[in-house]
Amino acid sequence: MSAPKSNYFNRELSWFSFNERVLAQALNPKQLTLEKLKFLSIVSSNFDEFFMVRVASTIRQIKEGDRIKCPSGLRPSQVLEQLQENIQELVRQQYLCLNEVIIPSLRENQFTFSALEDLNVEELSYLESYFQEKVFPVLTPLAASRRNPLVQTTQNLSLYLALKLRKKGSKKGNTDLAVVEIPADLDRFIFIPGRETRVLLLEDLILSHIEFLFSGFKVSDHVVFRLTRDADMSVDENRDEDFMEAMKEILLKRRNSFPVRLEVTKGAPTLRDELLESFNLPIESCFEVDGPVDLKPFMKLCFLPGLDTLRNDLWTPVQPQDYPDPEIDLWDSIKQKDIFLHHPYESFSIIENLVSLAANDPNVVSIKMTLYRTAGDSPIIGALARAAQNGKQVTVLVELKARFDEGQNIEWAEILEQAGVLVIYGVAQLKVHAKALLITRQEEDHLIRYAHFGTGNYNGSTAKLYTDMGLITTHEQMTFEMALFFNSITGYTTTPKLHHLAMAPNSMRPKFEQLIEREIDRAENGQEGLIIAKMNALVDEKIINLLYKASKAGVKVQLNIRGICCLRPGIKGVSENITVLSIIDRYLEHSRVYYFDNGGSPEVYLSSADWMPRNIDKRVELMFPIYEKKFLKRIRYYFEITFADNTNSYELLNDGTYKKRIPKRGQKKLNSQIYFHEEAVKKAQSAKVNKAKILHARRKESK
Amino acid sequence: MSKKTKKGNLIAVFDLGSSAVRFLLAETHMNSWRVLDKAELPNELGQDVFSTGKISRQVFQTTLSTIESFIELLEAYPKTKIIAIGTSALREATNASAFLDQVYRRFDIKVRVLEGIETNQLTFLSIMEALKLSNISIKTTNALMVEVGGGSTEAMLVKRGHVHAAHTLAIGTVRVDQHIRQFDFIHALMRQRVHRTLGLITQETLAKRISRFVAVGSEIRIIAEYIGNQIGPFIYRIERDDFSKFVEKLKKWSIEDIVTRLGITYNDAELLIPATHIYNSFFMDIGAKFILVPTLSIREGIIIEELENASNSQQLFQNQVNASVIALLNHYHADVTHAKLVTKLSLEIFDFLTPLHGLGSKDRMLMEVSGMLHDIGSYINTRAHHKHGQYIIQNSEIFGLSSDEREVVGNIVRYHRKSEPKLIHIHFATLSKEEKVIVYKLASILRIVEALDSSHMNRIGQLDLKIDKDEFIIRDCNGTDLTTERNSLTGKDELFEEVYGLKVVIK
Repeated sequence: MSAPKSNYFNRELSWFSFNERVLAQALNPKQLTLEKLKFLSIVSSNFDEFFMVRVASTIRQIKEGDRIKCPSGLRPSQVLEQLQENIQELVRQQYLCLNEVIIPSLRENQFTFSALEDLNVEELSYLESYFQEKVFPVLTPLAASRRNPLVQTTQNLSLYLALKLRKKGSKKGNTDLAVVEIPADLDRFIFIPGRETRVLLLEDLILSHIEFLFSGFKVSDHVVFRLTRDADMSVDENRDEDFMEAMKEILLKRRNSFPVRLEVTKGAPTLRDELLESFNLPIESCFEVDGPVDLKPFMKLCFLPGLDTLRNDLWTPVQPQDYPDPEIDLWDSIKQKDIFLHHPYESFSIIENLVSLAANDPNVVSIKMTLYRTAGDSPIIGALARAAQNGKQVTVLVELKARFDEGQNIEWAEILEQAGVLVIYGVAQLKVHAKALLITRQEEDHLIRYAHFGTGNYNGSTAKLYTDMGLITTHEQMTFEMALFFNSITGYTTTPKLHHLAMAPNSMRPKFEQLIEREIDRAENGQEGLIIAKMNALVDEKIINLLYKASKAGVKVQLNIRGICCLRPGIKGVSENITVLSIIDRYLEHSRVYYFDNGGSPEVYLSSADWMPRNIDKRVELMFPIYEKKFLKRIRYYFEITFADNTNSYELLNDGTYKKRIPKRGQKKLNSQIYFHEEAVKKAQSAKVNKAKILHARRKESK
Repeated sequence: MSKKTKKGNLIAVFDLGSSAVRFLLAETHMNSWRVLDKAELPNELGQDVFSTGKISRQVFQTTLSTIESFIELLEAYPKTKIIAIGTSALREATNASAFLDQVYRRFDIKVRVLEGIETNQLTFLSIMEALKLSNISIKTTNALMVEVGGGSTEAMLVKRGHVHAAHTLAIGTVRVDQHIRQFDFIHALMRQRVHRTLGLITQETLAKRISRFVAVGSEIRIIAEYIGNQIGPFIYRIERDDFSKFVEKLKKWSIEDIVTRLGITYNDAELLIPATHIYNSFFMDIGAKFILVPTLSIREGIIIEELENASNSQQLFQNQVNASVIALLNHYHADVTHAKLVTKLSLEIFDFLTPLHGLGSKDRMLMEVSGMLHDIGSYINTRAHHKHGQYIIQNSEIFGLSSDEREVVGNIVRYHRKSEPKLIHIHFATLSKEEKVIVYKLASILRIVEALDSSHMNRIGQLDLKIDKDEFIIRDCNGTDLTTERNSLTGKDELFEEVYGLKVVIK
């Protein structure tokens, strides 16, 4: 993962390892079939973004002179070569798993991927009418020509059928290239009516009608392919005045940026080479697959009804332990004590309820919120619009620059604007990644502010899949500083001085440095230094160096890093006191927690930011303290459990490989996600029992 | 819509300063207050005014749009009382009135342009509040309070909790920044001017005996957060050693260093250098071992002032005016006993005549100050001492009085004897109509009282006042024979008769 003797791993290669660990979930024989399929699909989905952004940027670096920019000491070309080699192998395993494990297992469970040849007349006629009614009207067969070069007409990440056509009756060798886009709006899977579940892929149905589409031609060769283009471009904020328009333009531009990857079905090498030539791609950028191209849509099959034995039990998020009874007035409850949230074990709907409650509450005077990635049909959007219509001052910062969500974000931002919400479209040059919600309410004789600080997006769907933490509080100083934060990101004030919170890009780096330095000081003075941190990625060179300094001083550093980690643990005299763990499980680990022991009176922060330069220097992020003793205890305990995980955790070794942790002899199996889930359920149930007891007692009295 | 019960009041302060426009929203409740929201946008008002004398069109517009954006922040709080203040840049800009007119027309906001001395008073209020909330007393010490602003520096000497002297220096972060950036040069210049100011305000108090140094301003606050210790809710303490070390470091740092090390903006970093020197120049001359840095500003001062106005207890303020007046009397070796008696009698008559003159508490204070200072001109010469008195009052700083109010007091003193007000007297002619009326009403009282203690013998104790038909009858409660006083009344009662339509009868 790095040049010999370098103290840093390369971030792209480290990311690859992460996706490798995701694939390992699918390859794990103990995993149920649909869970395996889910992970296969995630692997594909991860690669899409990786190619569009990271691989594209690596290719650009090579074009710009192939200079070493990465602390690992690798040239961009070396990185690319290594990546392509690794990914080829990984993709091979991915399809091997699909073909040899998943498909047979599904078949055993009466779920079959059918071929047309297997179907009877009745079924064929069903498909025929399906094709004529649904599919045919939206097909656009296209002949490739000099006027319409394929590289211009092929859209990023769309699925195509490429065909070699020969005029019926003409001599050999005279073939034309044609493409048909597989319509993305139609379901990729066509369910064939009948007792068993049988599925035909859309591309196979279209293929069977090719001669109908190109009448007078015969297909001599065909493949399904998908092209990935560079999407690592953004609005030039120095040049573009109208940000919305500029963003729309970028979205158009992305359609025509340079190709970085071709995925193609196996079996037609000549056609494959012709496509590569059209796209000006080398063979290394081509990934031939032994099965359907693009497994991302297969995620859908994982949730089909009726195959429950092939997947894990559904874990329903429970009521948060700090707010066990939804019938208690939420405002009162928050005022009495803060609410700590651990999603998705504890339900995210409390946040949606809070916003909704605020929208309808006559005493609420204003709502301020950041939205980064939010589903358009989110109840939050509806509630915010309603609040504005109810005459409240609603200010929403919509981050248009949230990658790959830009299009969607523009859409609902406009909906909010129409409702009278003051929509701020981000901050120039910086992405607003902080998660903050501030509700001001007129109560009795004071204005009270309710704030939610979080590590994850205000997105109800991802909140069911990502582990995140949050805090709802009325803490006067913290909510005041959140108000200042909002003033700052909405352009009303210069960067505020904050004492409780820290904000990137200004005060967060100095804050982290100071916190790490303090542990170093302690260790150097003979005390124990301890840093425990959990994040998605560790890339920031300055922080890595500071952690090395800490390790040298004797500070114990325990890191739980899901994805990229450029820090190399276990280097003699440099990083011997650092351990790095990665947990990959059914939920995507997403919370960012930073624990500094401070000689036994710990300072703990949660944040939206990873230790990556892009977070700390180029984004607007927040970190917020946890003061309440009870919560500090909970977080300490949380770390204890995650570091004891010996079923779904990996340890990063000095050579860059990740070693799966297994229970040592006599040790019990511990899966941290299962543990937290069970614990949350237990807490919620005991709260219910307690409540029931009270009811029972009352009944007795009334007799 | 909702049942609104006994809510707190909301007050927003818009502070149109020399280097920034600042916003503060506070909720007040009985006598307490808390800040709800703050904002601040940089502004080049000072740069414009201090270099060209006027507000440029561009700054004119950006300032208006900043005000507009702050009004947006108040959208959720429609019942907020907005108080806008301006400081030296607006005081000096030749086109300030055009600007103020625009602010009024567009936003219905009247900007109160603060005198240097008013700024001092607000600063003082906020400092006292910060000290009070942290249980720090300066009642037994000499303290120097310094606020460095964009266009001016305010220095106050506070003896035993009362402002003894105050002075406004025309140097500030922006104003210095205008001319020179070179380090040693600023330093030397600063030292010289600060030294002179200190000499002016400390007078007989030796600078070295000043044991408390209270520094206010956004730059010292940045420094305090960096090297100081927070010792109370709104107060930091910086040790002398730490400050000296910081000054040395600052000399070596580039602007970029300052920005990264202190985590502040370039704008702030540039202002930090001159500010540090101004504070340091003061600090070097006095005996304090540390710097106290309250984090409340004149914006909080405005809130506190509002609270005090609302609860009608201007005691603190009144005490300050008195302390300042006494300091002035001592300075000019005046007869304090006589001054006090005249003041007491004047106030008795003022209070008695309230239904007739209809004046308020502020005017009562002017009466009081006029009474105290009426003979101050005797220091120069007893002949024409009323004229000398007017000159002294116009040109001295009296803590708690604006220059307009000093003009009024000067005129009252001017007419406490000899000539009645005439339009050919330039200082009288330039007063506003309302001010002229006040001078008439108060000078006429003072003329009567002057007769009552013409002997300077302090004979009268308590007055027994009565209005009988068209006569205003004055008796001494103790029955003292007032023949002498009656005789000296001749020629002094005409103004009174004109103003109040009553004949003065001393019995």
